[in-house]
Amino acid sequence: MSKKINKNNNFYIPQIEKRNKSAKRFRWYALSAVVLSLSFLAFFLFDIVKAGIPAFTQSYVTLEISVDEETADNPYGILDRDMSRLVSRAWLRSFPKEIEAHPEWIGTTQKFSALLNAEADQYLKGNKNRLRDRQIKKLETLKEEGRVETKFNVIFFFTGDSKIPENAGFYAAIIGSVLTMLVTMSLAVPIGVMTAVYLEEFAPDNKLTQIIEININNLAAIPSILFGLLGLAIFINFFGVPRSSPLAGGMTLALMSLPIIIVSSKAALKSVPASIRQAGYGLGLTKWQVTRDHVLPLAFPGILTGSIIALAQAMGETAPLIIVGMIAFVPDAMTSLTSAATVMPAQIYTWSGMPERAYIEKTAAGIIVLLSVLISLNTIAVILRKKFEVKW
Amino acid sequence: MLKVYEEKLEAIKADILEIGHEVIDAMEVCFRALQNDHICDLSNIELSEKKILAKSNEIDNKIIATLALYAPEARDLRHLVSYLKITNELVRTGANAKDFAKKFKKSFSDDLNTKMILEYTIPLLKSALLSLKTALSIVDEKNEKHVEEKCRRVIVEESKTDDIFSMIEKNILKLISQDLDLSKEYFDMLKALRRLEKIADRSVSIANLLQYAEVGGEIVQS
Amino acid sequence: MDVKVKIEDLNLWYGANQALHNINIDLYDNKITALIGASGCGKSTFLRCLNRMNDLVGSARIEGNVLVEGVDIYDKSIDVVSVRKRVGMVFQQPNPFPKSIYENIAYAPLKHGIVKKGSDCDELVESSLKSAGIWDEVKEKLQAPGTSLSGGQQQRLCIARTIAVKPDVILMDEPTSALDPISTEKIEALMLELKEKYTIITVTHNMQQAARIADYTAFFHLGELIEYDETETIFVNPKVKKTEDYITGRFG
Repeated sequence: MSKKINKNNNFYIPQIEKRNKSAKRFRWYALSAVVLSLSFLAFFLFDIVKAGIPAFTQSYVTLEISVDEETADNPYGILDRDMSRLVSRAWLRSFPKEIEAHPEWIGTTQKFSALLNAEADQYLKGNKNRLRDRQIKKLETLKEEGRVETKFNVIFFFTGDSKIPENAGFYAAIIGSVLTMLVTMSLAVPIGVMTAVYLEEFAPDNKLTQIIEININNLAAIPSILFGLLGLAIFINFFGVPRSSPLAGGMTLALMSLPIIIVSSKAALKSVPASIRQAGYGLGLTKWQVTRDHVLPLAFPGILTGSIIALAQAMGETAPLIIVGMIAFVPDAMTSLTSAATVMPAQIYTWSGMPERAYIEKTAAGIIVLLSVLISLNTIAVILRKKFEVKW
Repeated sequence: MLKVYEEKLEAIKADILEIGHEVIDAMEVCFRALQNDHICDLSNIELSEKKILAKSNEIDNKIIATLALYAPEARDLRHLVSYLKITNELVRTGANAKDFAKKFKKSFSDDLNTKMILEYTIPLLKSALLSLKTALSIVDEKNEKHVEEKCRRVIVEESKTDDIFSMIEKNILKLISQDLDLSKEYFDMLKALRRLEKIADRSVSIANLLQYAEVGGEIVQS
Repeated sequence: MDVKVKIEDLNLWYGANQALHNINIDLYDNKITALIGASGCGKSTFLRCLNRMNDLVGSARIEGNVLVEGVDIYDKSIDVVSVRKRVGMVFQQPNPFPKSIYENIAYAPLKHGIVKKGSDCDELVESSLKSAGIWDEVKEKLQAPGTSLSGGQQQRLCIARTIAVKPDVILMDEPTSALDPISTEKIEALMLELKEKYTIITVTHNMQQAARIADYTAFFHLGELIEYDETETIFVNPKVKKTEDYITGRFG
């Protein structure tokens, strides 16, 4: 829809129609570029969510089992052949412990909700599976009897990795990521902020300072896998930090995050107007007093945002951690900084290489969890920055 | 308005009034002398022309400094420029008053028709004195209507002095034609009396300047 | 009349450029001295030498003596922080700290140990704000941020902040050039009051301001001190032609 242009007055420029058309064309180009990139993103998200949603549910079957001494000793013998091909070995394995916890069950018959194994679960979700026809028939019978139900998959969130697909969970990876991030942040943030304060406020304006700044900027561009090799060579081989531990991984990631934190903190400090510092000096305050009490509080939102963004980025790093060995198989989550651990991206990588079909949906579910964490971290960064922005 | 600026303006005003009152005091001494018929008292006027000139220069320099430092505008500017011109008028008025006293005393003698002379001189002096007094009272007058009224009064007094002077001029010329031997004394007397008429003229000038300062418009030399 | 600040043979270079040439001048106690001149003539540079703010500029090099009450502030044994406590500065753009009004005033005195926290401090804040003529306007809202005040109020707050550290000399670098005429008038009246207790040196590019409030005026041109005399002399009978040309607006 083009407006009618009045040609009978002093405001008419002959080229105006062509210029308007060209401006409009440019707008369309820009818009279509945005639409294209967003559609790639949408496609990816749609695909992942579709693949991952099934992982959040798990199938269970109700069984009646008479509990006695025998069942406690040999859980694998409770069920008949068909049933034992359908029920999860992991559930059976944990049965004796359950009995120990509830001694009143002995001598009685109880109803249990037993975890179905991965193949049965996959069949019920309509995917390819390795069930034999006999087991399929048994499963259908159970379904008709109404003894099959699907529940929310708490195992995924509270169990570590396992060779038994239905028992594999993301818990160890989450804990590992958290511990690694704690190490990374507690090392990178103080060192990074202090470095930025020194470079911005105290360092004399000479060639040496310039060289340092250029090198810090270059550090940010180094491929992350090289930091892994660095961590392997120095932290693990030279300093003897235990391999695969959050300590080693955290220190490596701290090195990686340092340039980002330093650069963003410097920008935050630079954005504090010089007039504040001048006012401070004019009153006879020392440089440190001016920096600590007047400049840092104002730069705080920017520093906070930079740190959170660095944290979010480090959380998604895989290559350096693989070199450092944090791709260990971790069935039980350890809360120590020096024992072997794994992180979320590494866990996703491991699962994507497993042969069992059940791991496909778990990989996608892991991606969803990781993405949610990253997005919420970035959102928190933006909210905090807005909240703490001091108005001038 | 800065305090120092206000103080300076007030000081200049006070100085102008000071000179003016010196001249008025001198004229009042003359008036009393004539009224009491003690012509010799005319030498008692304490009017030093040198002193008035010095004071007038001091005021002029103060005004220039105030103009330089405070860049006054509108009413303040008009006042200061008026005062600048008034100092001249007051110096001349002082000279006129002194001249009158000197010449009158010198040429006054019983040979002349002193009765007629005094008969006209006293009202002439009174009018001149009143015109000067009224003109100077405009300095402290804030009300525009009163300013204009006083200005009119000064003009009225001045025209009175014109009338009285032309009458006494006629009479003295007649006396001269009757007695040519005393012509010099009579002419000197006339010259003395003319000074009084000048004082009234200057009072009108002063009144007009002060009216311009307070009310506005353009300076018009009368 | 006492000499509060004596400057002897002051020269200053920014890198290779010489910005001040052989400045010799005596600044008197409890008087307002104005520094006037065209843009870039060195008056602000000179002002900043008096409290060693030029030390913060890496390329600045100074030769000569600046004696405040007989003591050379550039002497190695003098701590620059103590110089700035005795020679305070008010800047062209009002720059209150982004803290509350109370903290703006109280921060530096507490750090210098002039007062202890508590009622002493409260009194100092109140008296400083009163001296700056802004107490009545802010006494109800001492916890409000300093930046919530209007431009003129902010500048008076900065003056109060400078007074609070009890300086001897107050340097003002074009303190009213960023303000409207009413605020300017208020601050000029304030400066006339303050000179009873302090020595005030002010840079102004507004000659008429210097004429209104300064006791002494110094005219700078291209880094040299051309003429220094009582303000009335400078504005009515300047002795140097260059000064007269500047005053009459024939250049600059």
